[in-house]
Amino acid sequence: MRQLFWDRLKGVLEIEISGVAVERFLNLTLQEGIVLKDIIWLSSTKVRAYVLLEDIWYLRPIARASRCHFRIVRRIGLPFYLARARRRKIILAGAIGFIIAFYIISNFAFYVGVKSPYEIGPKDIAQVLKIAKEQGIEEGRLIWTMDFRQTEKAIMKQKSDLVFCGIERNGTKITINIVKRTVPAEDDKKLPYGHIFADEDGVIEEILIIKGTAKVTRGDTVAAGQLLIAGYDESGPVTASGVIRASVWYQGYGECPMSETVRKNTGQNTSKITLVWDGKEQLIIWGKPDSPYMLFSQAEQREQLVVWRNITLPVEVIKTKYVEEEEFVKTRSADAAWQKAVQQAIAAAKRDLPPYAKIKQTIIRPLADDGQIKRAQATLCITKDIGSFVSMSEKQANEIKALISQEKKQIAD
Amino acid sequence: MSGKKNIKKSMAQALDVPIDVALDQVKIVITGNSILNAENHKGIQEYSESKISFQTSLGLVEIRGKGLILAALTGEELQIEGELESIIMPTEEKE
Repeated sequence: MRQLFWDRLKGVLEIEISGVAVERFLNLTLQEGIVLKDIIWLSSTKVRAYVLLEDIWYLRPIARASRCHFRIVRRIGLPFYLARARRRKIILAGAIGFIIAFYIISNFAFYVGVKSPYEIGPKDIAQVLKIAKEQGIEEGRLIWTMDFRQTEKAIMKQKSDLVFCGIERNGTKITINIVKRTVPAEDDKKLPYGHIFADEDGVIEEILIIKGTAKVTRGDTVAAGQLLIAGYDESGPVTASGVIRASVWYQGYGECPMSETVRKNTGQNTSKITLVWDGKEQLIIWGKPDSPYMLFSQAEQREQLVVWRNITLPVEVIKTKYVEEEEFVKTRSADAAWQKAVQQAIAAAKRDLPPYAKIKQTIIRPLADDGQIKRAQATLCITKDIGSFVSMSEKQANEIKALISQEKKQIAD
Repeated sequence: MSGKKNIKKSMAQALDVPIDVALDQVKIVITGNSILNAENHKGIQEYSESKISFQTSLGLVEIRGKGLILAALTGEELQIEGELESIIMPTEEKE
C-alpha cells in the first residue's frame, strides 16, 4: 500500500470484503465517491482493500445494498496511535515524564572548564575555578541559578593579571574564557646598543636626539652610510635613538620627439580558427593561414574542448584575430613636446618617492636636444627621516666602555 | 460510429480538443507490462487475480494477467498493477 503521509495522518483501515457480488460493492463505492486503494483479490468471493477512516461509515449501506459484508483487518495511522496512547495512560505519562526529565537534566552544568587562546598554567585555572565556585558556578548545579555577568566581574576583580573574562554556555557545558595580561620578558626590555646611520644622501633639516651623541648638525650634507647619532654618551654605550629629518632629492628623466610614427587600427580585422591535438598537429578549419594585411597586430585565444565538467578532449581550438593597422606621422609643436617630456620626467622621479611624501620643491631643467627631441630632467625635493638603527657588536660596546672609563679616570686624575 | 459521434469527433479535431475529453472515451495508459491506468471508466465488471474487466463508453475492456490488483479505484480513474498479459478491447461500439 502506498502509505502516504497524509493518509496515515487521517487514519487508514485495511478491510476484507466478502460476498457473491464483490464487483457490485466496488462499483457502489465509486458511485459514492469513496476511494479504495490496493484492492487485492483473495478468492472469487473475497477481496482486501484499504479505505480512509473517514469513509468507513459510508461502506455499511453499500455493503447492505450489494449483499456483501466487510470486516476491519488492520488499523493504521495517527488516530489509532492516539487512541492506543489514551488507553495506556502510563506509557503516555512516561513519555511526558521523560521529556520533562530530559529538559531538566539538560539544564544542569555537567562540565565547567577554563579556556584561553594563550597558554595558561594549572595554577591560574585552579584560581579561576575557585572564584567561579564561590560565585555559584560549579558542576552539578542548575544553570538557571548561575549569574554569569556577576561571576565575570568577580573573576576580573580578584585576578588582577587578567585582561578579559567571558563565560559562555553550550548545552550542559560552561566555559570560562580568560586572557592573561602579557608582561614583556626581561630580555625583551633590554635593547641592544647601536648607532643610527644615514640611509640616503641629503641635507640635515631637523635633528632631535633622545639617546646617544649627535655626529651631525642642522645644515650638514650627509652621504648614505654616514654616522648620524653615535650609540654612546657619558654613561657608556647606549641604544641610539632620535629623529633626523633631511632634505632628499629624487631625479627623473623624460623625452618626447616632435614628430613620430605611430600605428592605429583601420577597423578591418579577420580571424583564423585552428585545431591542435597532441600539442603538434594543426588543422586550419576556418580562415587563411597568414594575415592578409601588411601591418597588423594579432591576438590569440586558446580553448580546450570540454565534454562534461573537467573531462576534456585532447583537442585545442585556437582563435587568432588579425587587426589591420596603418602608420601615420604624428607631429607636435615644440611647446607640446616639451610639456610631455616634463610630465614624463616628473612621473619618472615620482616612481622612486616613498609613499605619502610631500614634495617641497620641483626643479625642471631642459637637457640638450637635437631639435627633434625635447629632453627634460625633473628634480623633486622632499623631507624625510633618513636615520636607521644598526646594533653594535659586544666587542664595540666593551671598547666604548673601556674608553669612557679611561676618560673618566683621566679627568679625575 | 453514429452520425452524432462523427460530428463530435470532427468538431473536436477542428477545435484541437482531445478526443477522449470531447467524446467521453476511455483513455488507457500502459507503463511497461506492470501498470495500467484507465480514465473515464464506467465501473468494474469482473475482478479476479488473472482477469479484470471494466465498462467503458465503448464497451467492456478486459485485462488479463497474473497477480492483478486494483491499486487505485476512483470514480474516474483506475489503476491496475501486476503482470499484464493482454488487453481485449470491445470490437463494436456500445450504443
